[in-house]
Amino acid sequence: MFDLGKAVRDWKRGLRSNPSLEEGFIAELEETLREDVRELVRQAGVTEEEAFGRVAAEMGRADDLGAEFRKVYAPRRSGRLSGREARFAPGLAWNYLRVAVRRFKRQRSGTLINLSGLAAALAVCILTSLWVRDETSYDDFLTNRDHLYLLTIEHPNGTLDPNVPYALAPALSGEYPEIRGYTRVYKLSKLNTCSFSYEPGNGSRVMYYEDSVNLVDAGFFGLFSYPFVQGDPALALRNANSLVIRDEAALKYFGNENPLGKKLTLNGGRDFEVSGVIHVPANAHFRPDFVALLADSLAGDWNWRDPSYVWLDPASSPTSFGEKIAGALNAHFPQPLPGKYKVGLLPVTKVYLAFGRLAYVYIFSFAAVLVLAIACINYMNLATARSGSRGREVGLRKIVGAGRGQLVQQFLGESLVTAALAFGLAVVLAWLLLPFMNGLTGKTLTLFSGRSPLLLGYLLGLTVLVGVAAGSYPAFFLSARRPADALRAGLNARSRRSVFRVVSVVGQFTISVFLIACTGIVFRQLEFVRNRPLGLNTERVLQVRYNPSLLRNFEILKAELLRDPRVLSVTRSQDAPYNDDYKTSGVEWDGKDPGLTPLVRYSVTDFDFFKTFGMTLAAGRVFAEDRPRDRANYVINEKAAAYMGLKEPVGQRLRFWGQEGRIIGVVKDFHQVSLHREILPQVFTINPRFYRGAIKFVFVKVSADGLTESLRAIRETAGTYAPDYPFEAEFLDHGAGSLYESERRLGRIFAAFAFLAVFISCLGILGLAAHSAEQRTKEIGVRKVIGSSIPGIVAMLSGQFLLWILAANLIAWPMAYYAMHRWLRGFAYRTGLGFDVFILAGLISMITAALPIVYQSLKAAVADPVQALRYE
Amino acid sequence: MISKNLVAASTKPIILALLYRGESYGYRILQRVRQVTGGKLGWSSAMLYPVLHRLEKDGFIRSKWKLSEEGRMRKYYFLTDRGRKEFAAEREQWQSVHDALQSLWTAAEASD
Repeated sequence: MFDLGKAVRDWKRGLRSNPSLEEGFIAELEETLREDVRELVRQAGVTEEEAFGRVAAEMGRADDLGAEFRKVYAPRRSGRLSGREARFAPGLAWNYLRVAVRRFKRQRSGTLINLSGLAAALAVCILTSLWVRDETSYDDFLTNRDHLYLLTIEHPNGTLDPNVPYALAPALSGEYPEIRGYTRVYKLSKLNTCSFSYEPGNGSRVMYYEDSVNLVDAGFFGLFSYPFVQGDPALALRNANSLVIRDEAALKYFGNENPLGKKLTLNGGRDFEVSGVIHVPANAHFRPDFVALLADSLAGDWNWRDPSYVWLDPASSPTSFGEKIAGALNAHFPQPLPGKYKVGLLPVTKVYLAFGRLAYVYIFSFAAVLVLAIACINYMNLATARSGSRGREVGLRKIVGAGRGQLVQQFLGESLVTAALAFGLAVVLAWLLLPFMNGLTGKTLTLFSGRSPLLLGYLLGLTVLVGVAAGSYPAFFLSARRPADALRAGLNARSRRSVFRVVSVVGQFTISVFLIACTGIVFRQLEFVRNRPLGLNTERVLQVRYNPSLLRNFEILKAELLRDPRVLSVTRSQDAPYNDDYKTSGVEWDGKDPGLTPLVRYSVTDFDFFKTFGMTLAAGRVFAEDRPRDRANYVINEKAAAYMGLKEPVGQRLRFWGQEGRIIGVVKDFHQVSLHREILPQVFTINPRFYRGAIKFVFVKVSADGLTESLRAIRETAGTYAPDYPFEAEFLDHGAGSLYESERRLGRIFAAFAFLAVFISCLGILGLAAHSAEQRTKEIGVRKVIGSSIPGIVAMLSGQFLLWILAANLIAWPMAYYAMHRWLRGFAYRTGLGFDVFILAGLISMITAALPIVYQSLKAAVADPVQALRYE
Repeated sequence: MISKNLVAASTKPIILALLYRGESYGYRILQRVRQVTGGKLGWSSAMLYPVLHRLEKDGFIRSKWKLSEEGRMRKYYFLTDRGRKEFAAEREQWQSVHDALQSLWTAAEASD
């Protein structure tokens, strides 16, 4: 009996024998077959068996049917499947992820190296970005920032001076309509000791010394839009006795009381009324505590101590205006200066960075990028080194139809995931390191501040960039191989030595050695500075604030202090012997070239100045208390003697600010300024005519024992002679140290970068060495079996790496030499560029790199050769 | 019997035209073609299905499996928007060919 169901099943089985006929097609065909059979039986009255036979025959054989279907779906001649490639295949992405996770697990050390290296580098980038953003954001809160300029003077020797004569800005303003407004800043507290006192009315008195008391022109707050906490910017400087104070100062004097209208007395004599309270943002280059009106026009004052700012008409071009005023100094100066002094304009937002800091922004950004590059190179190297083991995967993927684009996507995706993980770690790391960083830079940076979104976006962009940069080479490298080669390479994993790998490892270590060498030289210069005899001794010299009461009682105070055996010497002076200020042209001497406008440092001081600061005499004698006539005489330094062309300076006549006297002694040169600069000619006077307002400190040299008690005794003594003034004192060592603070900071930051560079490079070389040893497992086994010694194998494995590092040293040395040569040129007194620093950098790089290499080689070398030969 | 080439060329416009009236399935399409042509075109399932699949791949028609009245799964085909446009284009082309032949034949008869 004929069974249609069974016949159809058999027929279907026949069809299935053809691979082109999928189940869906067969189902469709079956449907038609059944309908045809039914129709035939009904219409022609034939049996089911006959009908099935006819219909099945008409449909044709499985192979013919299959051929027809294949025509529709077969690959095109190009070899690609004719079906459109899936744009997004979620299943495949899942597969990529699984493969990646599996690989991360299996190659734990490699993954760890990549992650930690990238994370460390990204953390450095985050911190550097925070710092750079902070450095470059100075003064951008000023509403006028685009039209506000600092007047500068370029000296004939090229240095840019932020200070201009007081008379310059008013003169320019009268001459050029482009100037909408100007303000000079007369830094009163720089010239005189300033103190403010406040009497709350209950008989008590609040008093402080102040370091930022400034007199400005009436338009100041129109130019500098510091936010007013209280008061009205337009009216704040209405009167000569109006005083605008900073919020911090207000809190100090008035606590929670309303400061407006309160009376503050300057130096016990001049009364001011508080007319406004300002807040000075953290990123302001000019940070005034007190601002009052500059009553004097100073139209004839060509002294130059302080800055002036101009507000340019937005319609005018700063460039062409700058050219117009370039020669303005000598055009207006009553007694023209020799050489070319060029007046210029500096945008206010650049003032903070312009005087030395911009270089650091560049240096640190560059160093951060270098470190990041090292980490990216690690990733590329390890990824390509491992390509042998991935060859099989790539080959298989290609054979089952993966396009090259898909493979590139897969590998890029992997590196992006790695970069994203590293970024997450980096944020944590940066957060942990931020307090340390703030200590190093003296800033209060935060990771999550109001402007974070922008920075976060930028950092995410950086992460993507890193992911793509690190992943691109492996992605294209791996996906480019032909499947057959890739599969073969998978079996025979000994990969060829890649040029890229040599270049990149050498590059990494070049960067590392460069940074190590630079660090070494920076520290060497610091050491040089520390050890160089400065010609003066500021150890245990206490600097005490001078005040009018002490002025009246100084002689008694000095006698009283000296009664204490721990007090070795007492003097008073305008300032500590080293600083950048106090230069004058008001010096005349016999035989001076009448055309010369001299530039000489001066010190207004008192007896025992040279003793207190431990300076030594070169000729003559110092001021002596038992010779009252010495008040009118002068002491100069060796540089001054040379500058004035005096062969026998002692006894020569000298006029200082119109006061004629004789030179009684010459002191040996000492460093009045940092070693960046040449020692300047200097004149010392103890003439009381110049004392008014000029003396700012009493200096007391104490002996080494009982420092705290000495300090307490001095405080008590000073308190009895000046009970109405607060006692303020500090040891000078701090001040002297701060001269080289920026170098010290540079040294520390360089050291941090160098350490990171070396660390990340070593991570990379650790990975490469491990890989290389692993690949040569069999070779090592054979060598051992035929009698190689362990040291021999270690040497064989490490030799090549050490050769690369040697090459890196040879490249890095000249680079570091050049860079440091330039840096050292900034010091007038500097250490030599000894070769030992470079040798040391070379040794450090060799040793740090050798450790992981030798470790890995040793591990491979001591392994049991039998195991090694069984490997694979 | 009609030549193989011509049959092959005409499958596409015929299927599009049939589906233009509404969705249909393989067996029905074959029946309709047989009805319309009186069996002269000699279509077979072996020929129809690959063409349907091709048209689907080209995006002119789409298909879905549905339960028929007899309780069996059946694959229905219907036109896409692109298919409708294609139908119009095909129709125009075939129309011009038809017109050209028509006028030539008329001319040929007239000259006899």
